[in-house]
Amino acid sequence: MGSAVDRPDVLEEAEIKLNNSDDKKPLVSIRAFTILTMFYTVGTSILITPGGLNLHAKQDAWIACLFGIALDLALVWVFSVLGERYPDLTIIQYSRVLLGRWLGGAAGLLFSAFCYLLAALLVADLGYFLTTQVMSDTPIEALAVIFIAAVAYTARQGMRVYSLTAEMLFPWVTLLLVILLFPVFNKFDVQTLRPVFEFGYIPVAKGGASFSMLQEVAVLLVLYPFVSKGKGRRNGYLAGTAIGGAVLFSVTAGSEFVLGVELTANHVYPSYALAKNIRMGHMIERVEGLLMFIWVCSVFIKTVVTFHASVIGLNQTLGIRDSKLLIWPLAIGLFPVAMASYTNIVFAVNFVDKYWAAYAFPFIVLFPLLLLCLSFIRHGRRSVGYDRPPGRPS
Amino acid sequence: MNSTTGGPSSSDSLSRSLKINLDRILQGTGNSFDIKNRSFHKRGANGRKYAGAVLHADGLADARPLLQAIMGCQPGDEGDNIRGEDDFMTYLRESVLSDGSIEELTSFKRMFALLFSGYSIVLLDGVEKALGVDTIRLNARPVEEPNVQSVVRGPREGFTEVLTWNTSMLRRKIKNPNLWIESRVLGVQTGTMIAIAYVKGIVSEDVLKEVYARLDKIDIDGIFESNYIEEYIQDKQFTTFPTVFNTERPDVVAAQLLEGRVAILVDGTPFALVVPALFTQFFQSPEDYYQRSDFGTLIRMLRFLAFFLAILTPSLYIAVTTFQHELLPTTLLFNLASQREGVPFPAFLEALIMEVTFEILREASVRMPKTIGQSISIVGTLVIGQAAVEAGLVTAGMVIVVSITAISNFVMPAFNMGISARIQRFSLMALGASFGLYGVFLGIILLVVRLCSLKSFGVPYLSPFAPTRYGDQKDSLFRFPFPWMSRRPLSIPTPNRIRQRRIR
Repeated sequence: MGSAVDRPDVLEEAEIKLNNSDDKKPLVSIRAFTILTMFYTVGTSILITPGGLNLHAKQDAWIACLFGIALDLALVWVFSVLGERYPDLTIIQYSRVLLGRWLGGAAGLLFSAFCYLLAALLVADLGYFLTTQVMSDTPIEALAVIFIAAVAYTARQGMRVYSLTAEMLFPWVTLLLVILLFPVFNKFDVQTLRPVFEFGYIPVAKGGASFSMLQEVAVLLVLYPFVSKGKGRRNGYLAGTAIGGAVLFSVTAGSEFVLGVELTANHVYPSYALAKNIRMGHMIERVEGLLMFIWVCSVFIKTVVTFHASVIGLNQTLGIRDSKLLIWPLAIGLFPVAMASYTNIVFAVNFVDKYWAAYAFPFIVLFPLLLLCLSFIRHGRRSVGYDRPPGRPS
Repeated sequence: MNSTTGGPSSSDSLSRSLKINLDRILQGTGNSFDIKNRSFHKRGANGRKYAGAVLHADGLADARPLLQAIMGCQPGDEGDNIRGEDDFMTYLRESVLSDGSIEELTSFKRMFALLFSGYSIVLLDGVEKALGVDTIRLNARPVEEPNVQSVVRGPREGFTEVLTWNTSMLRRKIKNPNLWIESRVLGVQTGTMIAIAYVKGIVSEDVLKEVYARLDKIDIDGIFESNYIEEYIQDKQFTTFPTVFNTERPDVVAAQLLEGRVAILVDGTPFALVVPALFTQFFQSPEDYYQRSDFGTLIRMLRFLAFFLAILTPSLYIAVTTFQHELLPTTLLFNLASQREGVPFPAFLEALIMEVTFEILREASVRMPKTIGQSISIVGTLVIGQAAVEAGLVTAGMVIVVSITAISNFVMPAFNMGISARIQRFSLMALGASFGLYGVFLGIILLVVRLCSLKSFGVPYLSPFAPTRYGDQKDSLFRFPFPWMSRRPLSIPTPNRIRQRRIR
C-alpha cells in the first residue's frame, strides 16, 4: 500500500482500469463528484448567505456559518449512510422499496417536484441578481430563457458531461475565488468580530440552521448511485460539502471584515459588493464583472444538477425508459415556474430568509431521515442491492 | 467488379490466348493512349517460338530495363529445361527479370490495379497467367520541408504524396519490428491505397479494433485527401472542434505512435491522420520537444493564451463597451467613448464588419496568385486599417481588437483548431452583444460542456484536464524534461504504460 501511495499515477491507472473494465461504467468519477458537490454547496448560497447570516447573527455570523457547515456535514454523513445502504439506487427508487409502490411513488413524485421548484428558484435567483446588480435594463425573462436553454442542453448531454464540465471549470473558479478573497487578507481585524455571542446562542443557532437549509445537498442522493463505487464516494460527498462550506465561510467572513456587519446585512448580495472592493494599486480594480463568472458557474452547475435530478426522479417514478424524453418539455415549463415564483426582489429576499428553511426541511432532511429509519427497521444493518440496475440517465 | 474492368467476357481470369488478353486489356481501357503495348517474339532452343507482350502505363512506369532484359535473353542457352510456355514464363521470372518485385497474376482486376500503379505486365501466349513487374517510376514531389507545420529547430522533412515514401520515413524513425503497417484499398473508383501504422505492444487493441471497424464502414467513390477519411471516422459530425489529428510531419507521427496512437496514411496526400486526438494535442508543436523544456512550456502556455484571445477578444470587447463600462479604467473609457462618438454603428455591428472583412482578406490571400500578394497587404494595412478609422467607419480600438484576434489565430500550430476558434468567435460575439459578460460567460460554459461531451475513439476529448489525470499534466499545459516523463500518457489507452526507467 505504501509504495502505491507514493506513486499517484499508479493509483490513477488502477482507477482508470476499474472504470473501464466494468460494463456498467460509472458515469461520474469520485473526483468529479467531489467537485460537483462543492459547486452544489456553493451554488446560490455564495450570493445570499452572508447577508442572511449577518442579519441574524450580527458579528457572530462566522460562528453561525461554521455551525451551519457542521450541520451540513452531519447531514451529509447521514445521507451517505443511506446512500451506501442502497449503492445502486437513487433516493426515488429506495423510497419505493421502503414505502411501497404507491406511497413511495408519491413521495418520489413530491421529491422530484421539490427539485423542479428548486431549479426554478435558482433560475429566478440568478435572474434577480443579474437584473438588480449587473444589467438593470435587460428584462429578466431574456436572461432566464437563455439560462434555461443552456441548462437543458447541458442536462441533455448527461451526467458524465456535466460532471466533466464541473471538473474543467473548477481551477478557473478557484483562481477567481482567490482574487475575490485577496483583499480580505489585509483587512483582517479581530475587533470586527467582538463581542462574541453578544446576543446569546439562539440567533447564532437559528442563523446556522437556516444557512444549512440553503445547500440542499440531499438532492445529490439522486446522483449518488451513478458515482463510481468505493470508499471514496462517501468521502467525496463529505469532502465536497466541506470544501464548499470553506468557500462559503471565507466569503461570509470576508464580507464581514471588508464591508462590516451592518453593510453586509443590508446588502442583498454582499459577496458581489465584496468583489466591488477589490483594488490592487491602480491596476486591478472594479473587476466584479469578471468575478461574476464564479456566480454564473456555480449557479449554473447547481441548476443543471437540480433540474436533472427532477428529470431522473420523474422518469423513475413514472417508469419512463427514455431518459432524454422529458428534458426539453420540463425545461420549457421551468420558465413560467421561475418567473412566477418570485414577484420581486424584496419578496425573494424575504422568502429565502423567512420561509425557505421551513419549506425545504421536510424534503431535504425529514424525508431522507425517515427513509433511513425505515431502512434500519426493514433491512437491519446490511446494505441492500437491487435486482436490476438503476435506470441509467445517459 | 467486371463492370469496372469493362471486358467483353464475364470471367475475371486471364485467358490462354495472348490476343484475347490483349484485346480485353486495351478495350477495357478504351484504347487509352497512355497504355503502351510492346509485343515480342523469342525462339527457344528446340525451335519453339514464344509470343508475348509487355504493357505499361506511360509516365507511371519505366519499362525500358525490363524490355532490354527480355530482348537480350538467350533462352537457347538453358536448352532443354524450357519445354513449354509455362516453363518459359518461369524462366523469365527467375533468370531474366532483374526487378525487385514480381507478382504472378491470374485476374484482370488485380492486373489493372498493378498496371495503374506503375507495374509492367508481361503476357505470354499460351499461358493463363501474367507477370506484374515493379517498374514504378514516380514523378512526384520530392521530400521537402513541410510548409504548414514548420519548426526552427528539428527535422526538415515532411510527408509527400507518395505513400511508400511516407511509410519509409516512418520506418527510418522507428527501427523496430513492432512497427506494423497494414494497408487497405479504399474508394470504389479511385482504389486509393491507405496504410494503418501502429506500434504493436504499445497500441491499445480496443482502439485499433475501433479504427478498423470505422474504416470498414467506409463506402466512398474516391479519396483525394485524408479529410475524406476523417469525416467518415470522426466521432461527432457536427462540431467545429477536430477530433482527428492531422500532420504532415513524420517525426510527429512517429512520436504519436510511441504514445499508443494509430496513424492512417493516405496515398496522394502528405497529411496523415492520427487518432485518438486530444484537445491539448492541437496546441503542441514538435518544436516544444526540440527546444529545452522550459522554453517549450512557456511557448505552450502562450499558445493557450492565444487561443483564448482568438476566441474571446472581440466578444469581451463588445460586452465591456456595450454593457460593463465599469471594467475599463476611466481614462480609457473616455478615449473609447470619444472615438465611438463619430462611429454610426453599434459595437457588435462594427466588430462584425471588421471580422468579416478580415476573414475575406485572409481567404483572398490564401487563394490569390502569389504575384499579386503585394496588393493585398496594401489593401489590408492602409485601406482596412487606417482609412476605415479615418473615414469614421470603425473605431481605432476595434482595429486593434481585430488585429490581435487575427494574429492570435495564427499562433495555433494546428490549422483546424484555428478554424474552430474562428467560428466559435462569432457566436460568442452575438452572445456578448445581447447579454454582455453574462452572455459571454454562459457561452464559455456551453463551449466547455460541448468540449466535455466530445470523445475521440473512446478517449474523453478534454483529457487530461477533465477528467483530470495528474500524471499527464507533465505533457499538456507544461512540457516537463524528458527524463521525468517515465510513463506514457494515461489519457491514451495502452497496455504498455512504462516508457522509460524512472530516474532517481
